[in-house]
Amino acid sequence: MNSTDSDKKAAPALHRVQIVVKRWANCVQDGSGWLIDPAHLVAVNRALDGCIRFIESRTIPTLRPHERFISKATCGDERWLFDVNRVPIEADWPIAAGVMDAITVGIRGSRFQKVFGRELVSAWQALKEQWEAIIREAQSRLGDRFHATDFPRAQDLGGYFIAWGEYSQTQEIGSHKLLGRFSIFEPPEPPPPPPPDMFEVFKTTKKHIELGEQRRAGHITEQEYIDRVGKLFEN
Amino acid sequence: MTIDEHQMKPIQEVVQALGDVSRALVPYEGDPWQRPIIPVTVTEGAGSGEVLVDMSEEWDYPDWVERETWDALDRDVFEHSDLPAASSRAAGIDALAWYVSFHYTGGGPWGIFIPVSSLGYCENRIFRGLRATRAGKWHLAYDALLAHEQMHFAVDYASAQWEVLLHAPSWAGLHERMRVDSVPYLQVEEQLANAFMLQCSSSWKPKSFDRALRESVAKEPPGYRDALSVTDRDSFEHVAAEVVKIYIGLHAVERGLNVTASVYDLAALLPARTGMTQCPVHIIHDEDRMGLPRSAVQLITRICNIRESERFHRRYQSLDRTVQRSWSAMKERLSAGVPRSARLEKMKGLPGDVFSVRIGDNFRVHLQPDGREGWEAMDIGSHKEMGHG
Repeated sequence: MNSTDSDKKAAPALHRVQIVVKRWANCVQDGSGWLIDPAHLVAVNRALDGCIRFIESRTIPTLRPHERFISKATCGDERWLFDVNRVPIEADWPIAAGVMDAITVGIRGSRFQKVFGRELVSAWQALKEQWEAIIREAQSRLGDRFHATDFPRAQDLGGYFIAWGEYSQTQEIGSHKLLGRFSIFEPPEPPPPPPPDMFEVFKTTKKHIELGEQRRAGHITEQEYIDRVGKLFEN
Repeated sequence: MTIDEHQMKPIQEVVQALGDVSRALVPYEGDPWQRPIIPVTVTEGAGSGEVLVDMSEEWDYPDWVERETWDALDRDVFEHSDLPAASSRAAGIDALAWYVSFHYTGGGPWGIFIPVSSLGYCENRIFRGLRATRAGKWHLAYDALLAHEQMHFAVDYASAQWEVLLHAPSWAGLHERMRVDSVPYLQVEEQLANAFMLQCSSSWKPKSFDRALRESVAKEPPGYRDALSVTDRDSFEHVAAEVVKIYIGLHAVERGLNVTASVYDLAALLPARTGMTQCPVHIIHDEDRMGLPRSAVQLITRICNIRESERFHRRYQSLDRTVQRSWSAMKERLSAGVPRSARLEKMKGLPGDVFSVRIGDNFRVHLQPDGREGWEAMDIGSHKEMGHG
């Protein structure tokens, strides 16, 4: 593509994508140990890492961690991508690039597919069973003092192993704006000149008044006044 | 990584091709010899990865070196770049060695720069307390620094390949974006370079040296320290693809190429380890920073201008043709960079500086520096004849 051709077309539009990761915080609140045996989390966390990598593989990195670019043209194909105003709800979990997605459908054609095998399905099942056992044990030990509603249900654990991308559908950015003079498209419009410095305006006005006073007091002639005012506004 | 040295183009040709890509080459405004303040002499090394350190075990560093050199380097390696806006000062392992791209014009040197004082630093900070000779520690330090910087060369090369392919100044474009956004270094590239270094060090014996290097990496600034989790093949390739994408991604989009599609193996244009030897290595002799005289340390990275003595010639004539051909091939390789197969070692118990090089399975050549940047091949013979037991 030569630059003359490309100049006639619009620069491709991109969106900034923020990768959001929700990961199970396994520490007991007082920091004295683990809620779930960490060994049970290895396979699931590894799958979640695979999901994050999948998102990364479908996007272009920016210079900031966790921030990516995605071509506007490909946004519609990405199931893990949500508008910033629509955080995935429970019904979205299976379609976000979370562990649930990995278990149910896998991410076809990616090199991470192998981590989403039978091993993960059984690890996920074991994790849920262990969580149910923890809840049952707490219930029997604490009786009325235990409020099950304070803790996630086993079937809701998916919300704690999930990753997705957020972007604003209304905010797009032309590639030429990012690449500047290194773009093959016309550079973006230069920014408007900055507004005048208010303090500078005050100073000039003050000086103008002073010159008027000097002329009225006869300290300077009419011609000197005209010259100095001219010079003042020239600057 | 799939490109080996036979598939790689000489860098001169790559630079020539980049000359046809508008804005791909940029003037170099820095000083490639930046770290040392004192005037230094430089040994032109080679990228072969082999270096022989010849130095006395008896030398002691003066007291002031701890405070003035090691402590100062500690700050550079571990602290400075936690402040992203803290100028372009080198951080992490790049405070000990650095890479200057061939994308810079002006005829200045490009390649890897390794100050001798950095080897002393690694001995005293990273490998402190470990059991090995001083020369052994310096050797591993050199290997580690070289591996990290070689990965920067590999990225530079891969980027150049894409630039020629896309006709896009992606290297210069990215560095301009970094300058404008005050990003002092590319975290993902440092992660990759350190991961490559750790992949190389994983075969070190004893293992304690690899562990010590990992502990040191864990304390480095962001990006550098993240290497620890990506040394396995899949993660490494993912990070390699990320690095290539950050260079070329936006330019590819402008040209209608969807590089995020899984059909592209973005890391495929990174040179393999053997290809990395195309990158020149410059050893900066700043022994003064460690209070050592120049004569204390000898680093041999290549052996050029070999003159054969009369005795050598006589004995050479009596040898089998295969051995003679092996020596001719070895001479050529030694002048480009000492290959690992040469098993270069200093002979103990012989007067003067005599070094031994292995030829084939059973033959050795003894060489001596002639003091004028050349070498004399003194003798050739079988392993046993040459006193190797």
